[in-house]
Amino acid sequence: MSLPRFFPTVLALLVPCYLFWYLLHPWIGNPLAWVLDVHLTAMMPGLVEQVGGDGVNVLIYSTYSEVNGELTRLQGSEYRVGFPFNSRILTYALPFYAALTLATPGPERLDTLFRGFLVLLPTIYLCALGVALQAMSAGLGDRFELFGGNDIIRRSLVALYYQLSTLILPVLAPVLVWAWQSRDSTLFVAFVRPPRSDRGVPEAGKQV
Amino acid sequence: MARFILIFATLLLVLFSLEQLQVAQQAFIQPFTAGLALASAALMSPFDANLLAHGRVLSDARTGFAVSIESGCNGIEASIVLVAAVLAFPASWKLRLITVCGGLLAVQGLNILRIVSLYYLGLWNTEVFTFAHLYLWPVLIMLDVLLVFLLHLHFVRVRLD
Repeated sequence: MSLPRFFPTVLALLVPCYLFWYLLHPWIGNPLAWVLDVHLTAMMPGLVEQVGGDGVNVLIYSTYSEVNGELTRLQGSEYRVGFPFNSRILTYALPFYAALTLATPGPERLDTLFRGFLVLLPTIYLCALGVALQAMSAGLGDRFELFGGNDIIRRSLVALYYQLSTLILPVLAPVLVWAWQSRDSTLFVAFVRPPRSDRGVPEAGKQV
Repeated sequence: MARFILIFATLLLVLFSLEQLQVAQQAFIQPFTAGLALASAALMSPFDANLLAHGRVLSDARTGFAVSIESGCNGIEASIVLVAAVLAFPASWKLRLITVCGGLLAVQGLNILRIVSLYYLGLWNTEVFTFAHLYLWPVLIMLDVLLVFLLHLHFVRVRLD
C-alpha cells in the first residue's frame, strides 16, 4: 500500500463508516449522556440536576429556573434551565479513525480497531466534558463556580478547553491513535520511516 | 518518538492558546477570515450573478440564504496542527519551511473549496449542509494536513537515503 492508494481508500471507506456511525449513534450518544450524568451531578451537585439525551443531543438540566429573565434556584416543579449540545460534533472521530485503520494494511484490523475505540471513547468523553462546562459557564454566568479561584482565569481556561475539545481533538485524536498503532505497518515502513541504519539495530522478528 | 510527541503537544497548545487571544483575533484571525470570504466570493462571483458578499457573509440574492465565515471555519486550527507537527519533526530548516509554506497553501486552498461547496450545499439542502459542515469537512481538512505531513516525512526519508 502506497500513499497514493491509501488516501483514496480512506475516502472510499469514509462512506460506510459514516453510515454505520450515523445509524448506530444512539449506542454512543446515550452512554455518553449517562456517564456525563454520573460525573457532572457528582462534581457539581449545586449546578447540575441531571444529564439526559436522545441519542444525539445531550441535555444538561441545571438546578436553576428562570423567572422574568432572572436565574433562580429550583423551588419545586418549575421548568429547569437546560443546556443542550450535539454529541455528533465530537463522535465523528470514530468513523474517521475507523476509515484510517481499515485502509491501513496489517493483521488483525478489527482487533486494532477495537483497541483504538477504547482510547478514543474516553477522549470523546473528555471533549464532551469541555463542551458541557463551556455551556454552563456561558449560560449560568456568575453562578457557575468550579474549583474556586479567579473568575476570569477560570472562564478563560474553560473556554480554551472547549475550543480544544471541539476544534482540535475530534480530528486530531483519531490521527494520533491511528499513527501510533500503524507505526510498524508497511505503509509507514515503506514510505515514511527513516531507513533502518538511522534507527539502530533492527529488532528480531519485526516485519520490514 | 517521545521527543516528537512532547514538542508537538507543546507547540500545539502554545499556538492554539495564542490564537485564542483577543489581540490575535483582532489583529490577524478576523482580517484573515474576512480575506477568505473575499477570496471565495472572487472565485464564485464570475459564475454566480446572485452572489452577494459583505464582510464575512456570503448570501444569495434570490433566496436570502447566507453563510457567515467564523473563527473555527477558517482553517487556522488545521494550519496550527500542521505547523506544530512539521516543526516538531527533526529535519532541515529549509525543508520545514518549504513544507509549512506549501502545506498552508494546500490547507487554505482546500478550505476555500470547503466554503464554496458549503455555500452551494446550503442553498440546496440544509441537512446535507449541516452534515458536511459539522462532520465531513473537518475530516477532509485533517486528511489534507495528514497527507502534507506524510509527504514531508517521505522527503525527510529520501534525503536520509
